[in-house]
Amino acid sequence: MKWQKFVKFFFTYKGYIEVLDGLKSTLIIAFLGLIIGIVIGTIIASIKIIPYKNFFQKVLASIGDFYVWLFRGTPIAVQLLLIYYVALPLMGLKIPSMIVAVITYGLNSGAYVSEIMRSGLLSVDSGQMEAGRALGLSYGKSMFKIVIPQAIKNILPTLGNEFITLLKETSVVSFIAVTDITKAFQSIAGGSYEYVIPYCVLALCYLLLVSLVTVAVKLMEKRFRKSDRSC
Amino acid sequence: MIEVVNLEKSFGDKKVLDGINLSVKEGERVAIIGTSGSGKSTLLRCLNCLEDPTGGAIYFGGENIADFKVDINKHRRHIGMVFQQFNLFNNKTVKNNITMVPVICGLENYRKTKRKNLFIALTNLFKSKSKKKALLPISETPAEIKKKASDKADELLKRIGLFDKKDEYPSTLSGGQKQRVAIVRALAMNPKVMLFDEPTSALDPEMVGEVLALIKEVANEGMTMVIVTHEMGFAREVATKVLFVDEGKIVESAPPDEFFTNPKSERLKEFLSKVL
Repeated sequence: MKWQKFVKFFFTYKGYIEVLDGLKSTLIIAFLGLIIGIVIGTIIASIKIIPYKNFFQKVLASIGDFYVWLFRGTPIAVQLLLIYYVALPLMGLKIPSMIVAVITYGLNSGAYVSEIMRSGLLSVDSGQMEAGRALGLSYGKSMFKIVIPQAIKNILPTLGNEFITLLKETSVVSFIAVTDITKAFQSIAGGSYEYVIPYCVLALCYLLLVSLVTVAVKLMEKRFRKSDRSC
Repeated sequence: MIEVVNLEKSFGDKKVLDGINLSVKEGERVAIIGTSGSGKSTLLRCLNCLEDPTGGAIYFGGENIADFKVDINKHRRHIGMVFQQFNLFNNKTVKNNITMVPVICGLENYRKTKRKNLFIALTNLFKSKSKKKALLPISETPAEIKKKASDKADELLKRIGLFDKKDEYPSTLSGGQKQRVAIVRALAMNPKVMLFDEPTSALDPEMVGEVLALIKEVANEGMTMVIVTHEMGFAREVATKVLFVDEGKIVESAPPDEFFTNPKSERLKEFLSKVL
């Protein structure tokens, strides 16, 4: 009986189209958010670990500190609401909610990734940077060619973790009227007055997504670890 | 070749180097010995400004490289350095460890020349015919730079007998092999002088011999060297001048025979009686 209701709403009333659309938004927001986060995080972490900073770098580092403090200190749902309903109207801008979501999730994950990245950069033996500098490479070149590739190898498991967190946090994106997979199942449940099966299926969907990400991260790790002895 | 004048270095309040004067001439091989914490490693690391000196001057290639305004990267390319902990790039294969920096430097120079040529061509547009400047010559294309670095790396690897390991990662090599690769990595830059920071201290006793043999071989080719070492026998054999550093000062400086058989200062006599 319950199953029949769910199947009817899912297939006959074309609920699956909404679900697939929602799945697409969820994946796009999480994936692009992570990429933006990695870019922002790498930049902030690289500035923060410069040993002797000049005035300009000190200003940049404090801006980075402030940014991390702000975005780690408030929930993502509040950030979405503030940016979409307060900040953008104040600036008189009209941006599609999907783009706002991608940017907000990117900014949010950037705050976390910057700290992950910093620990990764610190985990690389300082001799690697020294060797690069002693051979005559600049600080930036040594960083990008030698230290960052090794740091990324070290933080890959943590970065996978961050992606999983981000993927699940997208479930609140419907606050700013983006239809993600949670919202899609919510409307099926609301339409059919039948809650058990849609929400269980929703949970299974997230489990499946996270499992896929886990496998993908493991494969990537294997690929990156080929410079280690143990393989 | 290197002229150190009144060099000082302090970490916070602690003065590690206190008025070092040293001159290294072309073809000279200077060994620096001393107890741990005497400042000998710091002195060596100051020579290519891995530690920025807090006072004094270091003249290399006609410039004071202790000055912050000098482009230190340009000078470091002529100063090879070998570390105690090898510091091979872990994310690169053995061969890429050797070719990487020469290729990057070559490409950098290539792009710089191209940029300058573009600028000359632009300014030439606004000049009368007689004032036009000639374009700078571009001797090598990027492909040639890579080929040259690769050939050189092959040659160097064959020389140390590790050619068959060229595609492996440093983590699969033994300590002695790593240090030998580190030495040829420095050699691939065609340095004018090489600095060795306790090159055998992190090695198994068994592997010390192969590394010292390679250093001797390079020394016999006439390379200028500054070596910080605890191997007294090696210092005596290879060096043309031996320095004894204690508490941030050069206590004694003499040719090896005189240094080891006829030490003058009390401190050195005490040190030698303990280690020999």
